[in-house]
Amino acid sequence: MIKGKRGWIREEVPRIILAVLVVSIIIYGAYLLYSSYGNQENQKAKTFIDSLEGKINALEDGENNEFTFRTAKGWTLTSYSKQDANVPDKCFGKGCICICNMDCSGLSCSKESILDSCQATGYCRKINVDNVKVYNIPFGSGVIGKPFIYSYKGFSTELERISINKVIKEINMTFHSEVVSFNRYQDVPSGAGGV
Amino acid sequence: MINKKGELTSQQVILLVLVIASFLIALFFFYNIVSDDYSEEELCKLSVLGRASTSSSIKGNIPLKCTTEKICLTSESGGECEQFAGEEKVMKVELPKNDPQEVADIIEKVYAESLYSCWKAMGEGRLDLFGSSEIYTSFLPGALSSTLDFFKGKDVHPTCVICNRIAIDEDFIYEDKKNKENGGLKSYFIESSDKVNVRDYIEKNGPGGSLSYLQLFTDKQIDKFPKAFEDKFGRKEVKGGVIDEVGIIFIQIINKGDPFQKNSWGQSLSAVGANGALIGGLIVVGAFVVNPVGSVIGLVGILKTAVAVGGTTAILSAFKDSQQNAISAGYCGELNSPKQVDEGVYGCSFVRPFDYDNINEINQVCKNLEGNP
Repeated sequence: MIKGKRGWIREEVPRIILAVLVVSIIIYGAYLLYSSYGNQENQKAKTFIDSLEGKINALEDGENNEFTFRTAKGWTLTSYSKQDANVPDKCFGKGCICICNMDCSGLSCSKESILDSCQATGYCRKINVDNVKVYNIPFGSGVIGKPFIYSYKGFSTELERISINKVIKEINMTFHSEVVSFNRYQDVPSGAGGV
Repeated sequence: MINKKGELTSQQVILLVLVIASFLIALFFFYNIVSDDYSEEELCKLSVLGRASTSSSIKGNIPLKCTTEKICLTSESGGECEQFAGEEKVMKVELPKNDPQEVADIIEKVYAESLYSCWKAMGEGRLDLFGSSEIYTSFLPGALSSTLDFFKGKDVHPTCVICNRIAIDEDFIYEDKKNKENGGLKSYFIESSDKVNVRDYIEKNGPGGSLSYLQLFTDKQIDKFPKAFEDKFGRKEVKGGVIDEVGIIFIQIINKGDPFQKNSWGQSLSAVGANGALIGGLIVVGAFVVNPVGSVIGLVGILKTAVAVGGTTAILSAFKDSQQNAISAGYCGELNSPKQVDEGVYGCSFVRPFDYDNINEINQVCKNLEGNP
């Protein structure tokens, strides 16, 4: 049977509309699930960096304390000092801490790649000191007297213990089993216990 | 309904479009607007129910909207807990300055309420919240395998939610908080913490109504702890210091099968609970007394009845390790979940306090932490 053009339109258009609607719902649902999952990870990172900033600010000069932090697994903590040439735009002009969506736990990441990640997806907070340092000396690495130091910390566990030491114009941070400091490959804080 | 040609009428199409549009609007409201209208506790319960009623394969993609509640115990109205510096929504509970017994009572109440609210919010351990990704395999035959692995400290990691963090203001604890190591503890803190007895509190008090926390944790089956069980929770010292912050953590492990079914040796957890036995290297008499990190360390003997009743009853155990004795609530049995492939989901759930500064222990127990910080 040959149908007229009008008949075909009347028959098929509602079906097409329905199909489009159903597909839209599925795509929208998938998007919601994906974005809510992504948001959760972003929220964790944001909460972590806010908490770290708050604890740094709460310390007075010459004071140090150790805190437990809920981190964002698969993200990396790094820092930039005032005099650094290459910093994320968000950090310009001051010492800065950043958590960036790049997994550097157990991996060696280049400064450039971390900078790119921080620029694109990182959460940064300016700190009112010139130098903010993270020394990350992985346990058991390096040679005595010449520890191999990373200036970032990739998070592979949910909870981390960080000791924060505030001295004039400088902040040092030490992880539970590792020394973490920002931006100084040679300066290990005293008592940090390098490898 | 449908005309002779099998076409949908324009009325039906409009109706369908309206229904779908309503669904989309409802979905949009659920994700964006409704969340602002509910308290965090209600939102958590809703998301828990959402998780429990979702198919196992997509559970992980449904966000668990449970935010860790932060409670600061401080002696001054303007006092702060350093542990929460820079964090939002910290609830302060004031401790009296000249009444050690009152201080102890408040600490006991906060602990008990936190344990109970966590247990309640997580569906009393009876809901499958984390799905099949945490189902483990084991070299041991039988349905008990993953539970036994868990008890024996094999590489089996439950998923956890940190329900509460309870911290004590360092000014309340230390003579000189800047010199914790050598400054010593305040005598008022020592006097107050010596009076803390959570065991006694949960035995004699409840959240309202006639039932005690203990009865609520054990499905009304246990009224009293045995005399021999000495709880020192809340005042144990660690590494020469004091536990100044605890995390109330909900832990769930999904089992391959019913942990109360007989295994290949004809033994089950309920049988062990009833008789006392040695299975798989575990000495278990009367009740589970396990260290969630691994080893079974002691016996309580109070849960014979609770464990023996069909195996799917609530349990309340004393988890004891080298650092502390802690009150915990637990449940082992079938978990409520949408039935899949004609098979029920089984598992064990616990809620217990951890020394929040002992991150190694928490990281070791909890492979994944869900919920918001």
